[in-house]
Amino acid sequence: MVRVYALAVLYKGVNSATVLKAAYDLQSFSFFQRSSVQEFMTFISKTVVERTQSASRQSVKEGEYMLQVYVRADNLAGVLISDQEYPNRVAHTLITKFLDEFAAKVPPNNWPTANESTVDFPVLPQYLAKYQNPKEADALTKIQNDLDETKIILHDTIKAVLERGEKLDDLVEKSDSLTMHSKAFYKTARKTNSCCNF
Amino acid sequence: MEEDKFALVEKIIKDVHKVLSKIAELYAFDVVPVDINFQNKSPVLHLENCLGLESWCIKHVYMYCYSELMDKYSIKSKRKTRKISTIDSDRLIMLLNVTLLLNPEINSLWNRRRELVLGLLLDKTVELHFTRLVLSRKPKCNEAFAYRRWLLESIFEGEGYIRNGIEHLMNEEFVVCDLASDKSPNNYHSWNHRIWLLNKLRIVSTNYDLNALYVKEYHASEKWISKHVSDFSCFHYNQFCIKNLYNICNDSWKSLEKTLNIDLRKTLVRVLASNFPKDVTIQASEADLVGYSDENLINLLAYSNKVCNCNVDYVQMCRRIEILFHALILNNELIKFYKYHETLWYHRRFILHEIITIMYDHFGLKRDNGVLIKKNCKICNVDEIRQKQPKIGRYDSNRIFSSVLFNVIISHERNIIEESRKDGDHYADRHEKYLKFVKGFNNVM
Repeated sequence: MVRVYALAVLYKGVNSATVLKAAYDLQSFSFFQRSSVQEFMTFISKTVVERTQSASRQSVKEGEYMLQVYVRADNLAGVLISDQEYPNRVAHTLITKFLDEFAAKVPPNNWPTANESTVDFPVLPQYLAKYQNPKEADALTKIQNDLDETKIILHDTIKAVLERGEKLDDLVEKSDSLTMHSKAFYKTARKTNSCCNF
Repeated sequence: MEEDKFALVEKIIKDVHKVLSKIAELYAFDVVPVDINFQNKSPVLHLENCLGLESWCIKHVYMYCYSELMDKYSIKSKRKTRKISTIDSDRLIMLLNVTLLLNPEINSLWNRRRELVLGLLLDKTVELHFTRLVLSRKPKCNEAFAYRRWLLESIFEGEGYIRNGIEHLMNEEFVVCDLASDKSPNNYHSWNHRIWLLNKLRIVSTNYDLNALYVKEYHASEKWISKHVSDFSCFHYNQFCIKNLYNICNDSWKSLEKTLNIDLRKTLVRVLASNFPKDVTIQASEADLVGYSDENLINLLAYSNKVCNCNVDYVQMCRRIEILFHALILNNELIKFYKYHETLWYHRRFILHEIITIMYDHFGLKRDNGVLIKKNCKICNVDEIRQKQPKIGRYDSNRIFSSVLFNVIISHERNIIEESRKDGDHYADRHEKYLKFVKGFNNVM
């Protein structure tokens, strides 16, 4: 399956990251899970951005999902969550593209204080829809292989991204941004993923 | 305490039953993870046509329903109460609904439902809705698909269904398959169900435009494979669709080209022109080839003396090759774009196998146990069949291997293998080995 679940623009502040704009496509999740999944994706995006150095790119694999992150030198960050088959190159080209557009539209001095409701950047959902089929979208935009030299660091699990001694379970438990409901959802998901699935 | 729990479970069962009475509108069921029941609230959720059940109650509800089903309604009691009264059946249906929603992988319970359907205590359309609901949570549930097939089969058999109702029934079925395939990758059961459906239509229907359906399904499957590059189940369906296209009528062929928005002949000719063997002096350019008739093109690609007296259907052969080359080109693009996917290479094997089989067929040969042997035409020489089939001589196989079509294929494959190897795709090596040793092109590649 080739599918993008979320696109997000974040700002990496000194201590924590804030979401400036995000778009989600959660049609494939069941109705009752959607809100939890969305909360969780936001949470994980923030967590990873906070742990990514400026001017670097990372690809993090977790289960059947893939999280691509790019933090620019000016601390503007882009995240794309997809499944594993989504081509990395296309994902990172897309991130670069929408971050450039974002920077052109929203002045940098607003970034540290802005949040989702104050930012006006309506193109993310369009990109999300268009890049569901990377092959067509790529051909349309003709931005082949023009990624900058920033190397993409590939991690096989989210554990590799976390700092020493940190555990995702603890982070989830401690988090204020996740509701009780989403925490329960996270636990169940962990359990079901651990048994084999054909 | 125990009594309290039972009362609660009874209430949950009733609530679920109430929601299920509007089953035609429901489209999804799910268990919602909630650890503890800290609010005194019903765990049955009904929002936006979705039915949800909070996870803390599952264990109790399931145990309760399951044991009652097994104690009171299992096969043991069959002797005593052969006939199920209406009151009994209502209760039985309620329990079955809850139990099967939670755990649909119990065939005995599905069989109880089958009995109820036969006893006219359950409605077939409602049952189709119910299985759909089950599949919304467990899209890989073979029992549910099997039950659906059984229902459809009995709907087809009975005179009950109206002729024009079949279209609606089919569309509904395709929607269910789409949903199930979308929810769960590599869903063998949903694709298999789809194949069954098409095959069934061929037998059942007399006035259904199958050719149009084949075109539509091919188009849909092509879209699907280009987005699910490691799901061989949908590739297998695509292969089934390709084979269906082999024998479609002229009008349908035109509509196929229209739907795909592509000139299949041009695609074929382009591949041919760019892969013509260099040593052979073929003067035809791409523009010339477009003007060739079907017969001329086939003769250019693979000239063979008539093997038997049957007429060669040049039009059909051309079309087969065209659609296969179209699939091959699509496969090229996918391999280049999504690198390192085994599925794509396996699909390629299928396509090449088909092209080569068509070619052998044209030369009146077949491959048996790794050796090429003459295939006797069943229509024109019936009496010769009993004779032992002679091994094919060197001369004959040389003629095949020097035919233009064969050389085009080999040169085309070499290019893609070379290109993928540069990308570090080790499946390319495997593909080469496959062609050399499985297909037996060791000497000519």
